[in-house]
Amino acid sequence: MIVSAILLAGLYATMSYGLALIYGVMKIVNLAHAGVMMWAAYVAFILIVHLGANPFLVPILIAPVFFVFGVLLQRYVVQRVMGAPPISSLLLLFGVWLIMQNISYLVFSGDTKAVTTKYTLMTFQISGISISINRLVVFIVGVLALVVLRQFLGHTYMGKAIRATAQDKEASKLAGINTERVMETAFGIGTALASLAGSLMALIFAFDPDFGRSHLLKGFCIVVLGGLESMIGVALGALVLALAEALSVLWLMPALQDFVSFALLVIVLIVMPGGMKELVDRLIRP
Amino acid sequence: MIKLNKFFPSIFLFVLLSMIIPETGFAQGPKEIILGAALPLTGGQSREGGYVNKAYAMAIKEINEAGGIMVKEYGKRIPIKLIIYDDKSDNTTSVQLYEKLVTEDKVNVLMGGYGTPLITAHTIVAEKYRVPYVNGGGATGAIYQRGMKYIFCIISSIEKLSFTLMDWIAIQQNAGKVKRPLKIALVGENTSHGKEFRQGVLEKSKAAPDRFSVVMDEPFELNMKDADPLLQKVKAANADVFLADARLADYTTIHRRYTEMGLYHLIVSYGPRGPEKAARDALGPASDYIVSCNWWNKDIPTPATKAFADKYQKTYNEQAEWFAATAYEAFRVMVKAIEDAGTLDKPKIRDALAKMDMRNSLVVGGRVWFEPNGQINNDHLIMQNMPGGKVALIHPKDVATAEAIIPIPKKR
Amino acid sequence: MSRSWKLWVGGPVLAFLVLIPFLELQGGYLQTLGFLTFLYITMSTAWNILGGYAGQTSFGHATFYGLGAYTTCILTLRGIPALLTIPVAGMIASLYGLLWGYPCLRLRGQYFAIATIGVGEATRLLMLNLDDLIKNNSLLKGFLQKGVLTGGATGLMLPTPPDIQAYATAFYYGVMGLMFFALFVSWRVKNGKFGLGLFAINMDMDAAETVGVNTTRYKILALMLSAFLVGISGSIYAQYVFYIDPQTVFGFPMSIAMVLMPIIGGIGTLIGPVLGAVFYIVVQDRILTANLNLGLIKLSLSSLHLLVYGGLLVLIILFEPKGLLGVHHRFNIWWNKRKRRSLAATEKA
Repeated sequence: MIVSAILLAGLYATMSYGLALIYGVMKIVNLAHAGVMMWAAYVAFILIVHLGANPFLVPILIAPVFFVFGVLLQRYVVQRVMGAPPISSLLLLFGVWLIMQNISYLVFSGDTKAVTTKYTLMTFQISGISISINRLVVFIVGVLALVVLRQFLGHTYMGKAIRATAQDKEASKLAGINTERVMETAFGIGTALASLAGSLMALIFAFDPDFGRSHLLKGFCIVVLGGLESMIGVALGALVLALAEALSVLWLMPALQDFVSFALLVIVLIVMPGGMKELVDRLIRP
Repeated sequence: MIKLNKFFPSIFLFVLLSMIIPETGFAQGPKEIILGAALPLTGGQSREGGYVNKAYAMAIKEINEAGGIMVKEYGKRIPIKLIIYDDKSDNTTSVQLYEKLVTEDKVNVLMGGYGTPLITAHTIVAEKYRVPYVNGGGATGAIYQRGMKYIFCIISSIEKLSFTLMDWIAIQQNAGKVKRPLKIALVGENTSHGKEFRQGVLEKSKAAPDRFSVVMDEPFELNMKDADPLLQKVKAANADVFLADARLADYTTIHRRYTEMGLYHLIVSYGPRGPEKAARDALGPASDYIVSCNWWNKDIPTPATKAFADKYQKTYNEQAEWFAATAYEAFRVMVKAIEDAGTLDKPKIRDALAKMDMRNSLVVGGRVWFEPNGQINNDHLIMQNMPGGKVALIHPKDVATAEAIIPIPKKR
Repeated sequence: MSRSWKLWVGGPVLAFLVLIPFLELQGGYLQTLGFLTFLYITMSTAWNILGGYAGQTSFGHATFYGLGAYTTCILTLRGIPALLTIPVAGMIASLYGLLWGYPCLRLRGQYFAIATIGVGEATRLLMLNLDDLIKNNSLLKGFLQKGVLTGGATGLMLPTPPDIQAYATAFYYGVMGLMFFALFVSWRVKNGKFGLGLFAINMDMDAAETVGVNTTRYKILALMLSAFLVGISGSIYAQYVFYIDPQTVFGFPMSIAMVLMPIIGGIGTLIGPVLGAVFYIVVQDRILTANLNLGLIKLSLSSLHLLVYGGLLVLIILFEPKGLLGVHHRFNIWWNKRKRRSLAATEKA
């Protein structure tokens, strides 16, 4: 159980880091994240089931496409409300999400779909614990993506520019960074991560056009837990949530598992808006 | 003079009104008989709704090719028309649509959709306006225990289904195929459908503690995305038999994770689900040996079933599932009721339904008649998925095509 | 001038609305539609008190709607007259608003919005599983009646009255009254000291605090007022359709509807939410039944309405934050300009 929670945490981290990145750079909450995850799941479904693509290559294939989608979305839509109060960008992206969701209802009619491949039912045993190969590979791909991204943010000009903008937008502008370009890139990366997570999820979960919502909320929960901007924080947050969910089954009905993450979201938002980092800080320096 | 700069609101109003008004002046007469239904063509139950839709279309075509329904009052055959709306698997929408069917479209009778919550919502509209309503997709007995007079259902209750299933397991125990007592892990969707199933199993196991003990009993949310938490609990329960009550989508989701986790039980059943082709395609060999208990299968050895299954296969180039068969039969029952009544008077059609005795039907036992509460009370069918995508009927004896393979062979 | 125009159009419209039950248009379907419209106007207006005036976007208003509906059903099934349950439903919704509003409203803007999504979903899940949760609890077991409190995903059913037509007509006028009540409340809030405080919060929370507005209290009051009206709406809905289930009354789509209507109509105004709700219902009704029949293939357009609203929402936020009302204003300005220009042209000539 713990093992499967850890495997899930890898996926959660991939999903949440996109949110965190976009929030960090632009201070906007991207509700369209859910829509992107859902679309990616459908695209993966079509590619794998109808066109016979290799299920583990698909996420890597579609991420660049969604990167472009994200850049365009930022350039032509979100950019327009950058000066407005944050709530309008939230509502705007909510509108985008609604559009995406209902296009899917029109096109895919909305029954629950699931991708089953030859890998889906394979398992192997390590000291009595049965591990699904599917979930393991999903975990590896997710974590790999994060590692690559971390290298990118740490060692390239664009990566550094993104981090600088996240820290202080005005100062970065003064330092000659093209912040608009930075925001586009960040939004693109965030979207690409969402699509990566979405297509990986398609391999594990069943989905329908309303798919991303609960995961979106979990994403927020993780991001807030992790303290909004750091990748390690996000990874830790993902682990905490996945473990909390897994352990909740011990004393709660399985049907209420999502309740745990939603309640945790609200509690975390209210009690420790600074995330675990703040909590740790407070404990160390009382 | 009206100030023209207040023009906009007037236009707005005008447009809205003109959108509402135009369809008045509905010519109603015995030119055609109008049936209405809202089906879940999109949303969570869209797959099942699609089967019902196809079955209805086939039934209408058949009847209209014969010239329509013979109505004695007018002394002629009258063609029928079916108005179908899409309720998006959503209750509010469904109620609104049935209201619309009755009040605006002025249907003569109503046909059912699919799914317990939706059908529960429909029955209220049908009963409210006293319009006869027949369905072949809402088996939950609780729907019919509310003293409604206009509601009829041609598939027998879930309670009976769970009893049949448990009795069959007892037979297997008697035959020495499985041990006694058996530890049962029981899960069900959190609708009245699932609740009734769980209650039925619990009741039977309480009545025979020497045979059964339920070690786990959990509901789960409809259209779940991740079955992991539920199955972790099942795994921890360490039971001999896994009994679930789920819809097509949830059955697929749960059993996929079940196989992924490498779980094993002597007997596995998803209640009425199991042999559906969509699920078997998705699950492959993982769906072998699942036992299911429901209302119809294309292999029932009666001419009526064979004729329907062949025709359906020819029309849509796909295997007929029970959803389609019961929907088709519900439609024919309604048509027969109108013919028996010899009029379009709603209470009289209702009386004809209450007195219904249809022979050579598709349903198990071949006879459709209703209990005073409006639900049929015929036998259920137990079948088992066999390797190679085959399905064997294993109970009751008179229709059985093969012997059950119990316990499920362990995989290497 | 403007007042006389309002009378001129408003009078007949009002008369028409009052007469609808007698006209039997479309076999009474228009009455059902009218009922829904009034109900949604009430909710839209209620949401607007918090979301529009105070600027706190809530995605969790379905919790109030659902609680209102459930309160009424649960109490009615235990023998309390349905009409008496209406104020109780409002109050319980209001109290629930206090319960989660008190902590959540300390969050700002975006955070509040996200927290409300969480609250809404958590509440829905809780209601779905409440029966099973308390089934084995000796303390709470007493609330069950034949093993049922909320009925899980099946929901609850109310008995139908013998004369359904008269009942429906009574509710039609009842909810019309409720709508005017909600509009009156909204108007009073907007033009009173309370509304001024809310507007100040909306404009600049810190500034409002420095000039002595107790922002948290104001926001909570606005939420409770809003919740009260929505709770009553839920109660009336339950009594009108006789059947509720968590997915319907607690579902996210319900919350979305309450966000969309005022924004589409014109957020923070009195008339905007009304326009938005009318638009919402009419478009939904027209699109719901639009089916493309291509022989055996059937393309359902019923999902299109949310697509339309999503598109509208994006357009409104990008180009016209004041919604349909804003479009109307623009039209006025454009029209006046044109008239002036043409006047000037004739003068010149």
